[in-house]
Amino acid sequence: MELKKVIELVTKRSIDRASQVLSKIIRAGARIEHEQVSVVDISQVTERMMAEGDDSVLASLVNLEGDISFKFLFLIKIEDACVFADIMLRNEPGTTKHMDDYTRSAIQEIGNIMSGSIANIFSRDFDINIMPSIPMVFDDFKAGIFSNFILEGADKEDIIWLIQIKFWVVRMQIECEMFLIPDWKSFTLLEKSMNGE
Amino acid sequence: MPPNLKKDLPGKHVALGVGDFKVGREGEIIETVLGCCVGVCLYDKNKKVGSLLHFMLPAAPQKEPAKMAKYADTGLREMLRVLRQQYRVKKADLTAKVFGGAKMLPRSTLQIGRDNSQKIRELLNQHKIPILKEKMGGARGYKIRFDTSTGTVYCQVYGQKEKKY
Repeated sequence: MELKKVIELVTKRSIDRASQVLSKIIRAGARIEHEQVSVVDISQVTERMMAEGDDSVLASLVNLEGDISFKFLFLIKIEDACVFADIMLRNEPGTTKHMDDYTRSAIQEIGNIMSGSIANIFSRDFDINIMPSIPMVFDDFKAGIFSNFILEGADKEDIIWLIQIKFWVVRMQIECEMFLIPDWKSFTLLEKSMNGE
Repeated sequence: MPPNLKKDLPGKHVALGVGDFKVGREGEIIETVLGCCVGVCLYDKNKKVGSLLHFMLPAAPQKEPAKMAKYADTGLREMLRVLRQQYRVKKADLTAKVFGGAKMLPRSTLQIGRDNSQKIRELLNQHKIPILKEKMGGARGYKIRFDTSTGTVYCQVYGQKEKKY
């Protein structure tokens, strides 16, 4: 099985699980609106991100390390993060007007649960053990956060594997995004293992 | 024009990604967002030619990396070569404004932003290109818009108002 197929297979199951988990946390259906597994040039993908505008977002960043490693990033606009926090705290959506510690905690928890559920899928379905780090939560320009996110994966390579998933929460008209960057070398080991080498 | 770039400045708006540089003539606005990366704006006020380099790391691992603009040393060298050969801009006519180099990730032990900032000051000094303005460091991202008609850079640190440099 070629590397792209391996990554698509393991990420497909992870994405489905992440979608289910997100729906459960926010008590509303989170539809996968866009899903892409691709090899991207770091300059081109960040240029596209810059051109999308200067949204202020809240991010939850998790490193998953173990038999294989990859990085997880969850991004949501700040006003939408406030709605998520209200739902998780069982408040009426719209109660939280400005980002506060509860909003940060809510997004941290989403990062924690989603990355943990992905780690579980890897363990259960593929016998691959990975441990998520404690999520780092911070707000900034979306493009700035994304550039920092890819930095570690791109320090030695100019192109990276990138998995991008957009979720759309219909009831609240909210879009949020999840990115995964698999470590290319560790996935090559996985490819060999799946091919019985 | 990319659909979502702010349109309050007249001209053709161009987005710039990481590890890349763009050269613009009068009437072009080059825009980018920086975290620990550094943005170097070079300007020739007589020719009204400006270029913006968005580099990621201070030094290239080899002399000729595939993506020259990813590194401060090779990126600046390549940008100067293009300015000289394609736009007939002399190094002596250039001035610089530099931005970025933040430490955005709160728990990160890496000091890439600081290393990038130090390196670009050193390189511009070696090339004898004066730094007219700089805004580097901190923990927040920078959005910069470089107006190649005037050499003015509009810089917004995340959470603050945009300022002119």
